Formats: sequence, structure tokens, C-alpha cells
Amino acid sequence: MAERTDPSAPQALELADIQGAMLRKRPGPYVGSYLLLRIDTPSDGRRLLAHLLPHVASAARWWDPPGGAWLGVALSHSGLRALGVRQESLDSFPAEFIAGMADRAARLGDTGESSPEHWDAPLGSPDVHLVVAAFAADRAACDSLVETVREALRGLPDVQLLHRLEAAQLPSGRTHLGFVDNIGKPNIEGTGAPRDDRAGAAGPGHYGDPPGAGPAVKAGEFVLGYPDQDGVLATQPLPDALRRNGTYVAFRKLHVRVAEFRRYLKENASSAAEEELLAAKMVGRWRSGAPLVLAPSQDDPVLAADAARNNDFSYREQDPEGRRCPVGSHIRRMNPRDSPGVSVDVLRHCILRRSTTYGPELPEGQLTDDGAARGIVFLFMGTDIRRQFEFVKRQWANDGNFAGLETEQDPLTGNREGARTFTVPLPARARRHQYEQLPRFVVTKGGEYLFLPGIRALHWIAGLDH
Amino acid sequence: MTTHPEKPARPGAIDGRTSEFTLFFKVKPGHGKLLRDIFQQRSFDQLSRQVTEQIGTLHDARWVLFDDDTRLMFATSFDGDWDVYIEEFARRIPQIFDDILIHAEDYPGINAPVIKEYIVAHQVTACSYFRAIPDATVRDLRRARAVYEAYDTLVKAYG
Repeated sequence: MAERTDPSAPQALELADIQGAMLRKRPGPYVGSYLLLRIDTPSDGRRLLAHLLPHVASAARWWDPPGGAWLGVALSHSGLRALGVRQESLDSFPAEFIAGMADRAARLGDTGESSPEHWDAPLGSPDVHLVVAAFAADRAACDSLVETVREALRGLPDVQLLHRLEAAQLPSGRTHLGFVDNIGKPNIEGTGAPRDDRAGAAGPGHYGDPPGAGPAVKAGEFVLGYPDQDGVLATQPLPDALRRNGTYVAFRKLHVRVAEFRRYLKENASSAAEEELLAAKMVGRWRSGAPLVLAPSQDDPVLAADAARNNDFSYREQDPEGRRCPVGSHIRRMNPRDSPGVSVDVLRHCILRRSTTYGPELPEGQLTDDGAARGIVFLFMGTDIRRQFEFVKRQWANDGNFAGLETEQDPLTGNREGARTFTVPLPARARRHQYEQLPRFVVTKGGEYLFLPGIRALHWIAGLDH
Repeated sequence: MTTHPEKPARPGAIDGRTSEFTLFFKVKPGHGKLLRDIFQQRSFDQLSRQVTEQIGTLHDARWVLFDDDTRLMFATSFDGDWDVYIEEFARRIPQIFDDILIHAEDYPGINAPVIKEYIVAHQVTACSYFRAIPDATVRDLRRARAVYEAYDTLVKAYG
């Protein structure tokens, strides 16, 4: 069930009740730990929540936490059940959240090597009830907060810490594949960022204002309790005390085959410069972050470093055919912006992502795999897992039909069950190059669908009477 | 039981990259003639074509009045996910659908929050569904035709 509201009504977000992990970009450098916990009795689980709550950061008080470290707390459907949330409430969650990410594997393309039977335990099992993210600017502050959590657990025999996953920014500040990350992000109405409701408000050739951010998206796309793009106010999950200021998280641990990626570049290019161009074509940006639409033939580090310009482009105006930034490139798939021919409403399929790297950097220039576990912990957040995360994964990342590319997939993240090609339109009209035999660069090592409640909702869960 | 807009719907049958989607409605008593009039308007065809063009993933669509105009069928073939399709359906076709379904029983109106549930409740999955070229999407077919036409032009000019 849902209610409709006046879409023009201004939105004021209750920032102090929204978990900081949701709306605020984490400053770098960072060090973090993800703790995966199982709750065996509701009373111990609720006591743990009560211990954690003072450390949970809100979107209003951000990056100024006591002790220099903060927590984010999210629950799986089985976790809500383990905490004693009533059946009526459990039943009111969306089907895909109840089923869990492992159950949706075929739909998400998590097949073959990425299928749940190969996932790192305990991910994908019904035992992952609570995921606690501890983040800080340095390892000491992070460890100190994790120790506080461990201390609390000592008095709670019926809560088990199943796994601790360490995440930290790489020395380069980039992803394992060497790219500056997290440049584009949705422009969420009411979050305090500059905004403009009109598409292309900064003028033709710009996509939204701030430039590149696109039109402001209604907060209800990302936080429950506010109207979405259609003016609809979600009325589930029940009750309101649990729903308000919460959102859903798709938590994914993705192993990245760095050596494989480097070898592919080398084998398919005849010079170092060509390798860099191919890498940039796959992503849609140079490793520096400079977008291909604005820097089509060579990297532009000055542009990359300029936050006012490095995202300021429109596909429709500047690159409708993808001769600069291929329509099949990673960033153009994740957010096609105003690309011609995309027939769905892009703003209904926005991704708000937070990603952190794990594992050691593969030494520069090394072309053989060292067997180390390394990759990215990807967090997608939004109020509709199916319409947002699953849609983007299924329609835009793992398929090519939306862009006239048949079954071609995302050159970085595709599972290679479709055509194993990557089509790069060339500057000359009607010419293109097709790279072939793309290997799998990214393997899913696990994931969970989680609910990230508002802070009052966490109190509500912690105080449930039984 | 509670209801939820995101409850998975019965999917249509699938062949290759394409799915079928079939809806059955009961026509309000005495409204059969009004419906026939709508379908006979020239503007109806134009609008349908325009919407098909916009959506870009519809192979075809048909409306059938039957049982002495007391029942109405809508049947279509489309590329991609049912979930996506229904979403676009409810968002993009409001006027056409509203004009027609206003004559169907229990229709809540295209702006009703329960519109998706209403459509889902009237869907029946095909027992059998076959396509001649199951792997060709509308986009693939359009492109193939454009390539053929360009080739033909070339042959005529230089052949």
C-alpha cells in the first residue's frame, strides 16, 4: 500500500534521525571494519543495539563522533526476526528483501563462480542478522570502537560475532583497478546540498545543477518517510516507527581480478597510452577521474581535480552516439543520465553507492595474480531494491538491449554470460572497434539485503517489549 | 496477510529475450459500445504508435473485445523484465489506459496507489508462447533493418 502526496511540497529531512552512512560522503582517508553478527535470543540482541546506539552517527552530526569513530547498523530480514520484531511487521517488507540476496542470485547474474555456494561464509546464510560498520580516520580509532563492541558482546552470550571484514582506503586513494572513484552521486532533495529542480538548469550541455549532478531526486527514492519521484509515500514496512528514515542496503563483497584486468589491457593494446585509453573507454573516465566526454583523447589531470568541472557533462548534448564515452562503458551504464534512446525514467533507477576497498594493492606493473583476496565492498542504498539496485544490475550492467548493444555487458562487472564483447564507437562516423573475449574481472564473494533503520527506529527495536 | 506493491507478480511466459503479457478485464455493463468507439478513433492508433515508439521495447499490442463486448483482453509482447515493464506501463500510458479501463469493472484509476496490484490481479500467464526469432529484441530488429537499408543503398549506388 502507498499514499500519494503533493509532489511540489518542499521536503525537510530529519537529518538527526537518518544514519550518517546513508547521506554523507565519507571523508578520506578512512579505515573501517564490517562486523557480521548472529543473534540467538532477542533480549541479548536488543541489549547489543542499546550498547551500539550512542555510537551510531546521524546525517546531521557527521564526522565529529566521540572517539573519532562512528557506527552504521543494518539488519537483515532474519535479523529483524531474531530481534523479536512481530510477524505482521516482518511480513510487510518487500518480497526481495525477505528472500535475501542469495535467493536473488540468478536474477542478479551471480552465477557460476559468483553463485552463492561459492560465497565467503557467512555471507548468504540465514545467520547474518546484524551488520555493523565501524569507520574512522585511522586504524587505532576504528579498533578502539570495535573493541567497545567486543566488550559489549562479552556480556551477551547469545550474540555471536561471525566475521570481521576489514576495509581501508588504498595508499593511492583509488580503486584496485587504479581509478579515482565516487565522483558522481545523486542530487537528493532536502539533504543540504545545493540543488535545482530543473533538468539542465545550468544551461544546455550541463546535466543538472550542480553541473553533472542531474535533476534533484525526491528524497523518497532514498529515505523512507518522504514522497518519491511519483509523489508516493511508502506505507510499508510496518509500523511507521520502524519505517521512518530507514532505507535498504544491498551489501556486496566483490573480488576484483586486478592482474587479469592488466593483462587484458596489455594484450589488447599496442602501447602504454593505448592501454590507458582502453581502460578509460571501459570505465568512461580516465584513471584520474577525468570524464571521457570532456577529455576524449587524453587524460586531463587538471580537469579531474576540479570538482566543479569533473562531472559537468551531458551525453545528449556532447556525446549522443558514445564516440567519446562508449554507451556500454561502466559509468554510462550505471547512470545513463540524458543519453538518447534510454526509454525509462533514469531518476527512478538512481543508485546511491558507498564503496570501500578491501585487501592489499597488487604491486604496480605486476601481471600475475598473487592469490590475495582484494576487491570492493559495495553498498547500494535506496528505498526500492528491485526498482533501483536490481534494475540497474539486470537491465543496465548485465544486458545491453537498453543501449542497442544486444547482450553485451558492463566491461568491468559483467558476468560474461552474454556476448563477451565491448563495443567502442570510433570518432569517425559509422566506425567502431569491438574488443573480444572479455574475461570476468569481478567475482561476487557474497552479499546481503539489509535494512538500515533510522536512529529512532533502532531505539524502537532495542526497546521492544517481550 | 498484508499486501505490498512490490510483491512479485506472476510473470508472463518468456521466449528468448521477449515476454508476453496478457490482461483480462470485465467490461462494465453497457460500456462495450463506448469501448468500440474509442478503438475506432484515428487518434487512438496514433497515440498507441507514439507510446510504442517511446517505450522502445514493445513488439506489438492488441485489444480484443469478446463475449458480446462484455470482456476485454489486452495482449502484448515486450523485451525485458516484467517488473520493469509494469513500472513503465503505470507511468507512461496513463491517458490511453485511463480512457479505456474506466470502462472496466473495479478500475481504481491510473493514479491510484493500488494500480499496480490491479493490473497484476488481471494478468493471466500464457500456457504456451513462441516467437520466430526469440533472441531479436525490437531494438535489434530496428537496427538490422537500418543496416539492411544502408547496405541496399550502397549496392544500388555502387553495385
